[in-house]
Amino acid sequence: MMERQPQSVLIVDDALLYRRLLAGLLRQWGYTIFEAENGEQALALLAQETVSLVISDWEMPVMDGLKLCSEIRQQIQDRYIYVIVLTARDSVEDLRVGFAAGADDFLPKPVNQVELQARLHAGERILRLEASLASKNRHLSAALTQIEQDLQAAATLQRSILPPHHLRQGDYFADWLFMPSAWVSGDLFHLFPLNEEAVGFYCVDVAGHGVTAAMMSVAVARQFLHGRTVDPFLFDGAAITPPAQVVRILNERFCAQHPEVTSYFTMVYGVIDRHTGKGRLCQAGHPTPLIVNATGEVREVGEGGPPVGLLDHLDWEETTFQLAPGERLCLYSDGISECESAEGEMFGAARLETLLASLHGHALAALLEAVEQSLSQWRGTAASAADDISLLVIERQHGLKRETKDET
Amino acid sequence: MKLETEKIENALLVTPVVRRLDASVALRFKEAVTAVIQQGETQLVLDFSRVDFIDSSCLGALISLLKSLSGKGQLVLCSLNGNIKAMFALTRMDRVFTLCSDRSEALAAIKRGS
Repeated sequence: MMERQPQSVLIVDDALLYRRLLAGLLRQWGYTIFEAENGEQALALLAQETVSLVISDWEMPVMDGLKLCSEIRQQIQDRYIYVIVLTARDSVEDLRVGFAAGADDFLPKPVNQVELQARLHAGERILRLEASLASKNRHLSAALTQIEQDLQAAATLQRSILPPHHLRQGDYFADWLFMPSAWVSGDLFHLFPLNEEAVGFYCVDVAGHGVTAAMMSVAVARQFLHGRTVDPFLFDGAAITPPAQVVRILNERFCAQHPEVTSYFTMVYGVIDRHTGKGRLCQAGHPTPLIVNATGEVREVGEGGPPVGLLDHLDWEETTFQLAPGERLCLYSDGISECESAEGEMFGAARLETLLASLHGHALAALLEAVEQSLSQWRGTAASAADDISLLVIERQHGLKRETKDET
Repeated sequence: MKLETEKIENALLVTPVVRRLDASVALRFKEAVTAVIQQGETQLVLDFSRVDFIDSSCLGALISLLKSLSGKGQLVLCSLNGNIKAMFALTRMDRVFTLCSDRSEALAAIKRGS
């Protein structure tokens, strides 16, 4: 319960005698009193003192009560001022004009004491409500600022786990397109070295977006980073862990951590032999990867499979593939296939296949740019995508000569 | 998120009336159906005839509904369009959920199971 402080009242009237009479009465009722002769004096006082309750005469020289009301509404923004106007006028039109100017209440002159006291109490009640609202608003806006700062920090953190552009691993070159749906998103992907013989790649799409999804994607990225070093589950002794087994391990870990099915993800994880281009991948709820060959023919690689972190005791399969020099392996999130046009039509996997096929002759950077343009055009006036959009393209280039050093 | 419900014998037919069942409504969908389960309904048919599209975000909602009924009731899904069926096949959820082509088949499945 808030402690009630003695309420201050500003009395504005050009008639000294009447003003003093009213002031005396209100002092008896326990109010602290300020006095002004006209609107101008009243405004000057309100700027200096924290008084929030005003009783003002309507007719006054210099600045009348109505002008005072509208000036108060314009000038004083830091608190609400409750204004009771005293008047002998009682026509509906006068009341309408008075309310329109910003008056809160009217009292007929001569003033009836009981009525005055009741109206003052009503005014105080409004002021208390207003003060409590203002204090809640201050808390809320401080909280909002904090949340916005945290979101910004989370977005920065999330961006920091995305790989650099132009990833090169020997003859394998990868680049990517990423269009986040909100401040923080849940897509991530990478092409990384496993050992002298093989490279690994993954694409992950955490269900939902926002801070929870971003935190989950950071946790998944950490698994892949640690999986090569401190907790090398990507290796089985000297051999490389089969992709389906990696997915099973991740499922066990994330199911154990999140028994309530709050978050889970779809992914593709795969490995490619650096020398032969033979690869295998495990598709876990993610859209089926595509291979585009040098003449623009497209084939799908994947058998489907459940998302990770959703249910215990599920199983995954592997698909083998062969990536020939000049061929591209394309991994995308469902943000692309499910990207809606302004009319509500989805972009669809078939349209993406056609697009990728038509771009087979383009350099990777030009291809990604063209895909981004197509999707932006498709989306049209829709403010932002409903879901994160990501596309990772891994290209096997024609073998480089021995003396050519790898680019970084 | 509007749900239409209809009681047929001991089964409750629940029809979400929403074009896209995606991440933006997944939580509300889950809460609305959970409320129905908490009122004591254990034999549920979810009718997707009014839904054009569901994304993978909603699988979590469906799985938690399945879990909350496990051991004490049934959840059968029916009237999925081609896109939704393809998504269930891709994610293998067609092996986790009982999918029926229409309401009468779903009600028959409930009867067999109870």
